[in-house]
Amino acid sequence: MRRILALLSGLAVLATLVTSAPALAQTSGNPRLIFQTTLPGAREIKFPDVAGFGNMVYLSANANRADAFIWEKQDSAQSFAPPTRLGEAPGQADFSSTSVATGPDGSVHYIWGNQETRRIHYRYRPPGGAWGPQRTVFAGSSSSFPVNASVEVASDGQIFVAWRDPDRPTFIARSTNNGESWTSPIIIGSDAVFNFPALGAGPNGEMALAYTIGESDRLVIYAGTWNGSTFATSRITPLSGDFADPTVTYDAAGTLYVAYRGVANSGGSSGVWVATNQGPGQWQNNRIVGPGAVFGTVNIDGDTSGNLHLQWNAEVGAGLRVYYSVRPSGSTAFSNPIDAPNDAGIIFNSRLSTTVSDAAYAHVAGEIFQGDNSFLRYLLFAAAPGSGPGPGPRMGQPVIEDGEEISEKEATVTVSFTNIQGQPTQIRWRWDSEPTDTENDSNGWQNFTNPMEIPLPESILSDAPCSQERLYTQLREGDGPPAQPQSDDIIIDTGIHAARIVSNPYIDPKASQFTPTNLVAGNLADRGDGGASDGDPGYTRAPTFYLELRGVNDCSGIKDLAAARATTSFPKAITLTDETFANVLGYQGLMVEGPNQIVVRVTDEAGNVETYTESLIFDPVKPTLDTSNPGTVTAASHPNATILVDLTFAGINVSDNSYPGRGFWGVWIANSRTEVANPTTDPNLIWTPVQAPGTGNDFVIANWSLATNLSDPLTEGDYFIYVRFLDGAGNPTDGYLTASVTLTEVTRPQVGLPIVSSR
Amino acid sequence: MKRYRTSTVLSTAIGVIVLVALGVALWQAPQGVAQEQQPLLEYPEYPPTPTVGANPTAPATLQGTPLAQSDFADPGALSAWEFVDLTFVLEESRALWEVEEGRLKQANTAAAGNPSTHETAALTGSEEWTDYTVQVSFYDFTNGTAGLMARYSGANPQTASYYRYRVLKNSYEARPKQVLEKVEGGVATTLAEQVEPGFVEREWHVLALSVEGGRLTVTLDGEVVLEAEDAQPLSAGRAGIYTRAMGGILFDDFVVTAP
Repeated sequence: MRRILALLSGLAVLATLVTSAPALAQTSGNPRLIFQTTLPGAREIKFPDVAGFGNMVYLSANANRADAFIWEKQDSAQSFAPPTRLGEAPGQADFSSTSVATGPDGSVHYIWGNQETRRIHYRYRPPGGAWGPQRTVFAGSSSSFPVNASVEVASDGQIFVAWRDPDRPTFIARSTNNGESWTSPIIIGSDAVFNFPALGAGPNGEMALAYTIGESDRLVIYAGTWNGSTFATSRITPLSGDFADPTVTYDAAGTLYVAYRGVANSGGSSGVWVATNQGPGQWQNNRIVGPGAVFGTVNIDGDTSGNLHLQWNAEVGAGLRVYYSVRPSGSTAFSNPIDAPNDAGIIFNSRLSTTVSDAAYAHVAGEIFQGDNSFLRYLLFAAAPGSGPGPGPRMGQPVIEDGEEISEKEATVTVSFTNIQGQPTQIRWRWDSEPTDTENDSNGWQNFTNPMEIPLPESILSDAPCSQERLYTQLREGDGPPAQPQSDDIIIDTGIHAARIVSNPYIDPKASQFTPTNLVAGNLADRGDGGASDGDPGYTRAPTFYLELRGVNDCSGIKDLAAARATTSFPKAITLTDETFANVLGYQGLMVEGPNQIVVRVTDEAGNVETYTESLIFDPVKPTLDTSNPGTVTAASHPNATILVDLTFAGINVSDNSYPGRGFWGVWIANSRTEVANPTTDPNLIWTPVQAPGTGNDFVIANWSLATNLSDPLTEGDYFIYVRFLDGAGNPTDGYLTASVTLTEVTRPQVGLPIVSSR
Repeated sequence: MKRYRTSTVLSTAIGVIVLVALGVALWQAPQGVAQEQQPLLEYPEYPPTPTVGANPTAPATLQGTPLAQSDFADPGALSAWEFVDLTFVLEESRALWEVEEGRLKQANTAAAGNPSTHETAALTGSEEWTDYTVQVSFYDFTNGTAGLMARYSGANPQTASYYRYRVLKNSYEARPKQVLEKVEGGVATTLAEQVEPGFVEREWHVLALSVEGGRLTVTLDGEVVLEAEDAQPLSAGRAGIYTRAMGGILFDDFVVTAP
């Protein structure tokens, strides 16, 4: 009996152990973030991928709703070469995703979806070679919509591509000839798959698959290995919780792992899980970390040195962050997770791959959302000591404003720190020199956070535009010895530096870049049926205005402008070319007679914003020439150049609703060889605006040419000169004055006099 | 003998119980293990997360005739709303909205609870509504995008027409931070914008969008922040709340009034 009870007790203990005992003991490690960056020039990023081989790392992503790109670099390098475009990936980014893998010989294998054609394409690059032609893995039809494709290469060179159709299971296609031909797709299981199916290659030709399906009103993980004809998968998570978004990998010894997440944000199933395969259909599941909301795939990858790397994204505390942990080769425990400081946006849908060269590196590619768009974010981690570079005397690399070259004028800069070692608790800093106990800008040692805001001293803020500054920081743990100072450079753009003109849209001169829009077309011809092509810069007769803006040695460059009637009504900003803008813009809303406010907002590339307020007088009302007592104009020809006349005005009597003083800005003059019955409506008269000199009602327009805008031949005889008066906005009087002169001889100027001048 | 039989019965019973337990355990074992495991690792320590706190006191009571109002005290309040995705997504990726603790919560997507950056809206009211003010309070944890919609009309959210005001949190790099736009047939045209500021995270804010003829006015926390005049205004339609399907945002005290 005692034997039976002992046996049963033993079985009970065994059962308990099978169901609950974590096999991975907890120890500490020392992984670290080397750096992170956002890759330039690629927008609308969705579901990027990453692969490594030897000391090379490759990123894949569709970008700009158009292009399937690949980026590459050496694993420890801190920048990528410009990307290579491998094909067309049009449509919504979610449905034209890419994937990249490396073969056992270092070859690179790339697939991408084309939403419009519903195809999955493939390209291959042999070691040291060039990219081969585009192949088709799968050509969908109107009844199929392949999405979420991923590629993996087995150690025997066989290429596997997995994808899904919405509401359908996983599909698998294979190639044994570097993509020249592909097998017909086979279907794995019968249940609809959620999100990406994941592939993982083993060291001895193995290939594993993991995916999420619904079962018994739960989300569960299935996983299994390729048996030569299909993936024999089975459920690896219980039906008592919801789990999703797995990835799968082998370690160097050939043990298979699946990492996944609990869907719940709290409770016993929440967090990050790793299942270790212990034989056919046998899995040991360990809750690595939790609770906390984990989003997207949990990424696991075994490197060639036997380290097991783990990466995920989670909202813990008050932030959504990227986390990384590593189980060093020979260890049974993952390190406590470290996070990547994240002040540039929110990171989604990350992927992980590893390389081993001078260290064991973990490469993470993800989408970073910054408010209006997703960009490609890359993070480089190094694994624990023993599998990577050990801690050195230099650590805590500051990165100002997420690595931007130029910063706007702000009271503080955001500084994040990479290559953190240990648990530094204090920091001191100094601008443009290394901090010391007696010389620093931080008022001694301060509490360290990552990231943190570091003030810019007034001496920098008031410095010349484009001042280059260097920030030195130094970290220490408690009262321990400080690490060596580290530094980062930033150019401080101290403000907007631009010249601007807001004026009457009808006047000259305008910038050479000016192109009249239809806002003013028809009014510039001075045909007499509208208004004049000149006037006072502070007036307009239509609800439009001329705006000219030029960057003048702005450090980062003028980026855009917007103009509105108030700071609360700016329209969409106009992007500038070569830091210059010159055009006529319509006034927003109703322009009222009299002064109207025009607010111009200018932004530079560094983020400085300046708002300028101008005023323009709207005057659509014509001035009036007193018909009873209009005044006079007489013309007197020059003896030595008879086509030039002096126009003498006396007692001009004009009234206007808004133009001050004598009520007119200038005169509108037209020449004719014949007397005109009604000059204000005669279509043959071409009018020329001339600013009237002085401020009084008596003045002289000297050297008026009788040839101005005259198409008739210049011969002896009568010349008629018609004059109307213009207000500041260029509105002409309906009333007019006439002068005439009879030439008995036509002579032209003998020297280069201006045709028109005033005195 | 009796004793022997008793022991046998007891042993058999215990054996059956344990074997059943073992069977259950072994049945579970291939699929995983119990869910109440303590995690092996610990996250770094972070400062305490700020609490949401009480709803803000809305700026002065909106004048006019109430058309709709909800404080989301009752989960049944959702029946008066339609939740739409403003871009094409698979059915499994549709945005989820729910009432939680008396507030309307954007709860990521149906795709295993993952966040998605696609735009989503909660709509209510009548397509006959013309001139009105729609107002809501919001509290943002991690989403970073809040907004309101007015005069929404159309059966397909991707080709619908409406006015929309959207504002980003300050920590986002994107600019402009505030945009008032007209969406016609799914195509957006900016009517007015503010480069900055946006809003402060983890604080309550009150948004209001007024449409009166072609005149649009937006207030944020009682201050007029954007205005526009639309020469060819949309005529009528429903009111709504706008955000992205990234979760991490609460809405409350929704009210629509006609002048």
